[in-house]
Amino acid sequence: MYIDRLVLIFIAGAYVLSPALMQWWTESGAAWWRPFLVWGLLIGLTFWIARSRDLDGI
Amino acid sequence: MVFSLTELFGIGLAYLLFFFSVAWLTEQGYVPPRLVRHPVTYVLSLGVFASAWAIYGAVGFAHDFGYNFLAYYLGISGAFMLAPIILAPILRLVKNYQLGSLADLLSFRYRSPVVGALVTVCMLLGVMPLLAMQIQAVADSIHVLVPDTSPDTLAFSFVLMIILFAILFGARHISAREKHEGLVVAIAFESLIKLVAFFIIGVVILHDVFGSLSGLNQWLTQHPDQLVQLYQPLEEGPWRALVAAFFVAAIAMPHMYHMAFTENLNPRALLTASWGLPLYLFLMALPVLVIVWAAVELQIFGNPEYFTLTVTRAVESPLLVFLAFAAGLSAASGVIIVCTLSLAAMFLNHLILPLAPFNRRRNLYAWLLWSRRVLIAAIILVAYGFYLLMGDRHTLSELGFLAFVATMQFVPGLFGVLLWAKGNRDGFMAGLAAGFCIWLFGLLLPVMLGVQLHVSIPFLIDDIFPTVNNSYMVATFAVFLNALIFGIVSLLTESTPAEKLAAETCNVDNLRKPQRWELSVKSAREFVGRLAKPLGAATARREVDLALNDLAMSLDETRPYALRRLRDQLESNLSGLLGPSVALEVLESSVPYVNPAEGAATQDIHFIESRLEEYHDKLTGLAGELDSLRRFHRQTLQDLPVGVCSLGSDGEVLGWNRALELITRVPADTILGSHIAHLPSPWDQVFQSFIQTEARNQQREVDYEGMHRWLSLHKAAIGMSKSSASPGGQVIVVEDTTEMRMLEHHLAHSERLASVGRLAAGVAHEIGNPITGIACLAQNLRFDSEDNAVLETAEQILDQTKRITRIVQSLVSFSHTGSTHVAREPVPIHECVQEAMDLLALNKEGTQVRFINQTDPDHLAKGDQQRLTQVLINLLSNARDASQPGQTITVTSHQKEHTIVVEVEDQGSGIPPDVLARIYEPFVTTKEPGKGTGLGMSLVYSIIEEHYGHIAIQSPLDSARGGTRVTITLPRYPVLQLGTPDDDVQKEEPHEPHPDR
Repeated sequence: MYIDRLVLIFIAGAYVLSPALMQWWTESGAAWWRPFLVWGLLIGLTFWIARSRDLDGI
Repeated sequence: MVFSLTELFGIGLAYLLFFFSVAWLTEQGYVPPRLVRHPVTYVLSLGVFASAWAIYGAVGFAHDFGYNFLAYYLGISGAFMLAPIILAPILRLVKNYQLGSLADLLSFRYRSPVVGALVTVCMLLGVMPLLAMQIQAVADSIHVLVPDTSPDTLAFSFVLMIILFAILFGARHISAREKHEGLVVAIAFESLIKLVAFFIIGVVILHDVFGSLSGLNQWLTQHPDQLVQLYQPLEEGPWRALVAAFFVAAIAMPHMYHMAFTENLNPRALLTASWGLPLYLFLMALPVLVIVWAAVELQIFGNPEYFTLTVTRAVESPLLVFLAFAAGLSAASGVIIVCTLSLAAMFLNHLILPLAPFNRRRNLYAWLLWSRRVLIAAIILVAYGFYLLMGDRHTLSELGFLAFVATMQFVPGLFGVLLWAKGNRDGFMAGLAAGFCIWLFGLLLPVMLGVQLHVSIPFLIDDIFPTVNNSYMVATFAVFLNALIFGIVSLLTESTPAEKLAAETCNVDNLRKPQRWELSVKSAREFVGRLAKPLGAATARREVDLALNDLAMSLDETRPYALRRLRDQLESNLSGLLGPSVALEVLESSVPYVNPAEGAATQDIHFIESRLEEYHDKLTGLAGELDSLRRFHRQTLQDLPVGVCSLGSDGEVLGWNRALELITRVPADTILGSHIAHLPSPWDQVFQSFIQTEARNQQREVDYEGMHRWLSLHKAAIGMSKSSASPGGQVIVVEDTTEMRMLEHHLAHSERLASVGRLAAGVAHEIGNPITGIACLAQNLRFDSEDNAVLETAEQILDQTKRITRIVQSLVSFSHTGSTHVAREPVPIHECVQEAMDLLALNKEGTQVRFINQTDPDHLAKGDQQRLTQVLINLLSNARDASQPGQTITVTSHQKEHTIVVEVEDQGSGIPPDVLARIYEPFVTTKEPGKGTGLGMSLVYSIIEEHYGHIAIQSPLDSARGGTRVTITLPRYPVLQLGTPDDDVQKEEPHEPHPDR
């Protein structure tokens, strides 16, 4: 398994930028299920990525 | 009251018995292995994460802290969504080195038993609040349903049951690679029950309280304050610390590590878990808000953490209450059992075994098993003591949070495992100690004792009393300080060589660079004897056999490369049994390397190459380009038409290319990693003597597989510069010069023959004139004398001069072969043969044999009739001379698409093998001196070659009766062109000759 530094930077960046996401999430008038929708989409995306890859060296 | 205490106790016992039955049936093989190893089973077993917090705590947390409750689900979901990057490398390490717990992993990485002990102590302390929370959840849930009972007594009964089941689940037998398939299936089943029960509760409550989803939305429109309560706490700060704490839990929490890595039965299932576990938790999170809002709507007061129970009781559905209780019991028992198993293994490997070494006379396996059982009971009892100590002042989420932020202290150490090879043991221990002390004194003790301890950290934390709402600041500071100390101390102190090696092994950025240290043992069998001392004879034999079986090797193995692999495998297997620290100690004391302090002989190039081959399609950018370059150079070396062998400085074979495989007939697989002295004869002697000589080049003659071979050997030293990571040793180039030598010999021979030819022509010319004179004088003598004696002498002189003339003519025609023009006309083979037979029949002095011409009159060859007739005369003459009177000589012919094949077969004595090998050379003959010049067959060969034909001789035809068959293949004259002018025919492309020499 060869780790991609870019992915790590992306994770750190996403963590740092999460206040913007929180602002969007908590803005007035947002539907209560908005975080569940984003979560569901992330699960779908992970499923799509996991289908086409393999775990090396295990 | 829906259920009485006895009923609840009965439900609990029945549930745990059912739970155990699932595990037992799996271990007995009643559950199909396909199902046991199915990715869905793995995903569900990871659902152990959803502890009592998910059933009770999350509801209370959502009520008090709004959307912050999602951090519990999203944190770990994030870790699993990044599983191929973060979790897969750890799974690889766990599988390869049998690292059964986080303490194993960290002590393996930092190469220190003290690290293992420190991690174990921290983990035990850190996880206690989580275990206490589970006990409290079960006790409180019973107390909520049956208010007039003592929670502590209930808790104790629950603890006793759990001790029994934990021992039955996880400590029934022990082996190096113990996989509790029963436990995995049971936990998966438990997760399924939790999910189904909780989801049904959510759906029924939604239906009973709000009617439908649109009813819920309508209710929320009427109660906007509920949405404000949901969003407001998000802005207050702990969200990111919470997400980080739950993110780390995927690796740092003992029960998650145990289920995700130690009990992983199918590595590929980790990919399924990357979306499967987030989906599971997504479904588990959905009912939480519905339950909270239902409690508000139904105006239920009391502890919001048990709304799951109180709301289900309020809707007056005994089934729902049963489901809620079963889900909570299921979640709590699952976490306690798995967590305790993992902690017991850690405690045994890192605190008991290093401090109280086992006695080799005892049965090691039984001793380990009983120690583990006692530890399981002790840990659960300590957790119960902790629960009593904490009292009922704390919410479930408070306890859970304490445990999760405690495990965050392992993050810097894990960063060192995966990404930072420079991090060392001193840095890790200093950082962990500092971070953990802050957690202990800044969070655990104030919360546990209820002391109004005010924490002040300049510029960061301004005089706070730690509670769940603000303790994230203390937790974040503890991790920050831990990481800072880890970094600074690691940079200031030096890592040991073993630690550097372990860091490279663990680091996902680096490929493993194993060193080729020389082992003190010389055979696999010797391992058994050496290990018998610390492990006992029976255990040593069993472990060595197991490791040999893993590597598909035999007990007779002696290759240094294979023995190093065996040592690694034994270390890995013993690590699973005794922990990495003790395993390392056992191997270092029993099977040490020879002078490891002096550094490795060279790097294990062969092993690195095989690892790179596994990774090659994953390397990108510069690494990918360098790998392509490596592959190109390797391929060049492999395909080089000369043999190349590279040797380590200790004589171990590191490289063996394809050409060398062909020259020596020794496959690379069998010799790579062996010492050069282990080569089969005669190559061991060839290589060793060449290595020992000072000469850089050598010519050797080797007799191998019945062949005599000439070899040209060259050698060069491979640079020893350490800065360039060069492995040292030397490279030997082996060139098989046999063909060239043969060609040289042949050329020299041909040169000699050519000289003889030129000499013969000159001699023939010079002799011709005096011979003519002698013949004339002999003719005259016949007329000058009447004396019979003189006449007879004159006649003999004439005979002899004729003979000399014949010899001279043969010499002239031999020396002229190849220089004359060969016609390309249709040659009727039958006629040629007949003419040759008729001519030979005239010579009455020769052996009287019977000629049979069986050639086909229609067969036409393309060539010069005169010269082909000469060929047949020579062949038939030779056949006659070799035959006995009365024997037959048969000539046959047959035609193919482009050729005519003529066979001359006799029943004569045959040709001796030594003559047959040189038969086309001039002056080679089997006849008595004076009877043949030895030029006949040479002439035949030349003529056939000029015709682009082919000649082959088979002799003897029969080992008993002799006989010779000469087969001539000539180009066939094309039938359609019969009658066309010769010029046209001559323009045809001739066939390539196929001389049989």
